[in-house]
Amino acid sequence: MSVQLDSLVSSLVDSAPPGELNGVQKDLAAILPGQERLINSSIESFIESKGGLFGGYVASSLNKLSGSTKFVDYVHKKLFNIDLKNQQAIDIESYEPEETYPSYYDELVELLKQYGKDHYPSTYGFTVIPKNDEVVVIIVGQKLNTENYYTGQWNSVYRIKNGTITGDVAVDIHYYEDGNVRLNFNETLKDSVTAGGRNIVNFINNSENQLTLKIVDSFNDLNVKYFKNLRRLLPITRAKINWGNAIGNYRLGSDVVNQK
Amino acid sequence: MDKFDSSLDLLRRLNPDKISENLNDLCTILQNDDEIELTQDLLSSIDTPLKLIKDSSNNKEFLCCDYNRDGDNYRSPWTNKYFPENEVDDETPFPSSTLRKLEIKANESFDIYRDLYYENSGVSSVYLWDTEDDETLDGFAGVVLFKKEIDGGEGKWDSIHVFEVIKSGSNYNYKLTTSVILNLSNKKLSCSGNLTRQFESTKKFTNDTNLETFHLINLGQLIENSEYNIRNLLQEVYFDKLKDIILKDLRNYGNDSNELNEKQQELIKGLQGL
Repeated sequence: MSVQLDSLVSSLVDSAPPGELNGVQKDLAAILPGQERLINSSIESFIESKGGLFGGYVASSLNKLSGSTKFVDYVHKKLFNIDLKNQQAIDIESYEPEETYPSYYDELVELLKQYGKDHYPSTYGFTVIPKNDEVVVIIVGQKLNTENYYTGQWNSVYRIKNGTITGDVAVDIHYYEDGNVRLNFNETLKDSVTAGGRNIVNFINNSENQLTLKIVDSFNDLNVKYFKNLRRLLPITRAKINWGNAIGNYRLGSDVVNQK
Repeated sequence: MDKFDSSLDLLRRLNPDKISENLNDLCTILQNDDEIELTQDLLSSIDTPLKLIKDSSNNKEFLCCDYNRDGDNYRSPWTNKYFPENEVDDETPFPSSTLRKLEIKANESFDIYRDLYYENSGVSSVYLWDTEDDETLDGFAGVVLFKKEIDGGEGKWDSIHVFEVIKSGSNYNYKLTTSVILNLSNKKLSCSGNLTRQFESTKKFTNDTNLETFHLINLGQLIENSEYNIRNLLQEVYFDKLKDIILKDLRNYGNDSNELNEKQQELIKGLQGL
């Protein structure tokens, strides 16, 4: 059972809303008393694969310190653990990364700070990870509005390597007033870029603006192609139905029209 | 919170697009002897997309839910027989003959409703059951179901209307819970989920018509109105609220947004047209 239980819990956690891991953990702990370790390990895997924001610190498999529970903040040169319950970074300590930072690193960090102020109105966090011949930028925008029954996360990961930039953007929203509605939007991007803070942030800004337009287009597409054609607002007659014995007349009418 | 409430809370959080898989996983986890009742309660209180079965005696499909189920078999509204196996004994649930007559007429009426609102496609099914022993139409309950899918599942609609009718004096009180499961997706964007709302109406019975017709009219109007309301609500949540959360809470486009405004106008125009 334990191996199976492990995969069952992971599969449940896998469809959790990124901003509600604390609630998901509490629910699972009540359902599976004594299995806290197994539950927490599923939740940690989730955070590492999807990225999370903890009091301004970004946690992901990309900045996990190997052989440790801690994550690396390359910007401030710190190590930290995450406290899921309070959504905070804890056990923060100084750290001197071995990786070589690119020359434009500080400029990129400053520009990303400004980019957040200009475009991310709610909780915003980012990190820049130097990795041998690659630089990774992670951006997380989050809104946890439990009074109005929704939580949402925008998560972008950009990799700059050998004059090429690739991006993975994921938007995940959970709306739950008298129901449970979920939005997922995923897009991958690729282009060439001359390494440098300004060029990278311009690429990110232009791409994310284009992506926003694409999202609105997609909403229009879902309405025109599917929503409108699933159920009409009113019948073709544009009047509500005359219920009771007369209802058979509609069929009579349609049979005449369809020559059945 | 106990295990049942925690399970409901968990399923309310997890992706509704995976509700059937998640419910199944959860029931596999809850397999201790003292949890059998709990999983049964979960299976009957969580709405999942409706399944279709074919009534082989007339080749017409019908919808399956907990209310027409007996073990692994489901009662067809078209013939009152169970499928895939018609294993009937004294314990097998059937509506009383008075209620079955109403059920036949309700199925005919809501099939016409389905043609008119779902444009001659989809499937509808109505199931009624007695809540009193007297086999009259003074107190009963039922469920009205609709299902429609387009483009290989990129647009999916399931509506589940559960109601109860209670007589008080010469009035009849109708209590309705309406849930719609709506999934819409293209290659990039998917919006899926369900909304539930409660509706109620009380009507005075006068002898202008027979009681059967009276119930058909009242239930028809109540469900037609509730579905109209919940469709508007779904439109508001899916196309207005979710979009606004992205544009206003998660990421602002910035100053120069003429193009964005035009696209939003286009969407609003598309939503307004019938």
